[in-house]
Amino acid sequence: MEAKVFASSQPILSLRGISKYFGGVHALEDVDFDVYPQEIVALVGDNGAGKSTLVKIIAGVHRPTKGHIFFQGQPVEIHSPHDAQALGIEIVYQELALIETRDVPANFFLGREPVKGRLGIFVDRRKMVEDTVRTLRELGIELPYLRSPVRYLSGGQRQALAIGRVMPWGGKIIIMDEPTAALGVKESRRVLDLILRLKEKGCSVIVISHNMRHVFNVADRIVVLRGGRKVGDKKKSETTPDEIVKLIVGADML
Amino acid sequence: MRYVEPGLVLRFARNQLAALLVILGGMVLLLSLLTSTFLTANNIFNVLRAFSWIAIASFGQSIVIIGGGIDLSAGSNMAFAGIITAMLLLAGYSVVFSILVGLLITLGIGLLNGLMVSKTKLPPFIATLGTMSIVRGFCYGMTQGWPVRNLPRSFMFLGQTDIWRVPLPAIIMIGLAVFCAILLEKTKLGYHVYAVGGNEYAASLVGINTGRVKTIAFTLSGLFAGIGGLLMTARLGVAAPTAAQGYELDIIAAAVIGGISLTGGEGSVWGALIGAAIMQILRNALVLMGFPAYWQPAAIGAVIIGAVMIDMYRKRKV
Amino acid sequence: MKGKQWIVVGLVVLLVWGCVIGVSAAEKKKLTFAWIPKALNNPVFELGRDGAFAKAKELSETTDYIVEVLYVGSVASDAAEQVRVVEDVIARGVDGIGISCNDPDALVDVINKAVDAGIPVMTWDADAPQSKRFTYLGVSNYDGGKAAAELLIRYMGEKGKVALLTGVPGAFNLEERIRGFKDVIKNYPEIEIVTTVACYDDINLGVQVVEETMQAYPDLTGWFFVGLWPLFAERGSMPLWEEAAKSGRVKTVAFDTLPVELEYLKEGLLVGLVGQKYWGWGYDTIQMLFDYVVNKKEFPYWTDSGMDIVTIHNVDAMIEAWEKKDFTKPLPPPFPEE
Repeated sequence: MEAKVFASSQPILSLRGISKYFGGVHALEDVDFDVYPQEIVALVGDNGAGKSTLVKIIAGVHRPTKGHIFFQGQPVEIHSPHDAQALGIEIVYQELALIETRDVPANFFLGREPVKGRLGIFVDRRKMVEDTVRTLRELGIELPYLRSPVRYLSGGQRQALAIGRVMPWGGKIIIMDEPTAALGVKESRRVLDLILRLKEKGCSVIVISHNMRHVFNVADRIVVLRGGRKVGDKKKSETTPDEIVKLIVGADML
Repeated sequence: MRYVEPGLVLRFARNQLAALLVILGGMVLLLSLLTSTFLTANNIFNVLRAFSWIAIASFGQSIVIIGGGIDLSAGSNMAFAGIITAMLLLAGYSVVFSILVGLLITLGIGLLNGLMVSKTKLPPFIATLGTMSIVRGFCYGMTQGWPVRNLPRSFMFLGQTDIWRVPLPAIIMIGLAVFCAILLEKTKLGYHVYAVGGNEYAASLVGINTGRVKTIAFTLSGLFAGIGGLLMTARLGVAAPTAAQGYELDIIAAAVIGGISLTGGEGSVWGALIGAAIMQILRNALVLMGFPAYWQPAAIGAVIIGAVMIDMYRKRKV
Repeated sequence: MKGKQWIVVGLVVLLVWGCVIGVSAAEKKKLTFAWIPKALNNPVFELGRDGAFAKAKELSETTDYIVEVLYVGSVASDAAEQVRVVEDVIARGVDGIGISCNDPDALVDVINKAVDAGIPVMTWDADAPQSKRFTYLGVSNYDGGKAAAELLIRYMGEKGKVALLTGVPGAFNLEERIRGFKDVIKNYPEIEIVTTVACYDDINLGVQVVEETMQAYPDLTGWFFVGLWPLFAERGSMPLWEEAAKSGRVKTVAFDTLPVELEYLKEGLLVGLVGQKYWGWGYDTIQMLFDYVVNKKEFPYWTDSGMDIVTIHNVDAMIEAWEKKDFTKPLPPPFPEE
């Protein structure tokens, strides 16, 4: 019942026959997964379906037990988050990944602070602030206080910051795990807009979400996992929320 | 699209240092009105000298606390640096050599703390509680309980000299404060210290080597405690094995009064400097005003709680 | 609080064979006495230890017994730790215990346990009066405080302003000295005690509060250092006090008679010292234990060990005793003209 792959252009990222076992637990079993340029792929499924494991394999956090990964047609091995970043794969960790006590530029450049001077130890604060402001403007993110600790920002603002900060790194594929989970209606809308804007800027986005409305709002394609296997791969235009929900829970149960 | 900064009032309220300076200024004003002796050059410099070594040790402590740790071995390190250097001096080694060895050894103890925390994952409280005892044991063992005395004048010079009436330890203190402020606020390492203390998980996700950052923080704490201890020894001309016993609590209190949160990730060395000043001025004031010695610990405890409560309230409010 | 917050268990055991092991050794009976100070980290106890060893040697040479001293204690002053040390000593089995108690109440049970096990116990320096110890060798700190006040008045005159420096507020021996001091001063209406400052047994804090007090009371005429803390510091660390003491404006009396203080006294910065007989803590205790065990001698409930009063007139004799580590000779009188 697997839907046909879109052969129009070459995928930027291809996973073939990916399996991942944790001891005796088969978290993923023989999964194929593609991401095309400038495409938003929604990854859906019940808890424990294997979504997180799959994105963690892409991000280099886990290594697959079996299977191959191709990036722009070339076989690659992703051993670490660092390898993933080198390929242009960025993962947006949630609010968890912000330093509450630090201001926006410090969070924006967390771990990749630009340096100046011959010693190479002094942070180029001016560049940090300028780049932060520019990127936030480009993405249409509004943050009231740039120089106050992030803890004074709202949930949506933090999420926007967490997403926005992967931008300057030339990310080709951006992975988001439940980006709208803890947000209100208005703030969710902003984050969805931001995802669309990332696509406009040329990025591909993989979004994990439970919210069908959000999925149908932004995704170009929807991939469904169940029990570690891929059970659906549908273009948005060729499916309905009902069908996707059936795939998620398993048609035989309805 | 707006990137406005908070208004002046809000910015002031959010600024820990400003709030601390107001408290400090208030104390100074009150004391100059209440006593005739507080605001004399003599007394001010006396106070400056007296808190310089606590402040210096608290700079190192601040780096550790901002990085999410705590260093209980600071007091023992202060005493140990003094004893090592004093014993070398008495054995006839040069002042420079003796000082370098003394500092190198406390730096090594700091490094050991750092490695225990980052490599063996011991909680900082436990690791440094252990070294606190071990180092103090070495202090007693090496001296057999006796203070080491008769140190050369050329060494005591460090602690007893004044430059234009300003005590040398106070000048060194300011120099080290500037050094630490630059380290924390301007360098990549400093940014990472805040990141590790603010959210260690997040820091490791973005690829910051959290173990390395912690190790460096503890190493610096050992070194700074050593510097503070040496200046104290040079001032007193004696290295006692019981010296600086319990000072780790004063050192930590200075940082905490200075707005450095024990949960890590925020604060500055300037805060620790002001925190140390507030504590010493309070002690000084209690003596100058003839406050009964029996009640002094109560007053100091109240100030610690008060200062931290004001800081928490301020954070909640704004 | 300081000093106790920090609990390290350390046990140093030093055995001294107080005899020459000769042919007769096999025929001699062996006696082992445990001598337990409050802490091993306080140097004054080392003098007592030397006294104990000296007496053991003396007794082994002159009597039919080989006397051995077991020197044990906790590293820092800590009553709980000391209880454990005594229990270890009981388990090991000794012929007598001499102990300086970290706490008058905390040690009662374990002392009674020793006595019930047939080990006689006496206290020295610090007593546990509720226990079954057979005697207490010590000074009255209250009398020591009185003696200090009398010394000060002799040099300062019958009027003036006096400040007190104490260690840890509430420490029983220090409070007793202060009480004795104040009881004498009470009789001189023109002497005012302007302040009492505390240094928590810390040299650095001691130096600091002395200087601050000098600052706060420029017209001060006398000091009573209830312990010697700031005097461990080198010249130059208390410029205000040193200047005032040298010019004779301020007269200072201190407790204890350690060499550092003797130097200050010889230079004229201190006018008088009142000290316990540290040597005797060991020397006399071992003699008393020996007399109790061997000669079945009876002792009063309380044995006064007496006090050394040192002034410029007998300081040289005291310095000599320290240099030779021999305090068996009595000290010359502090005021020979009387």
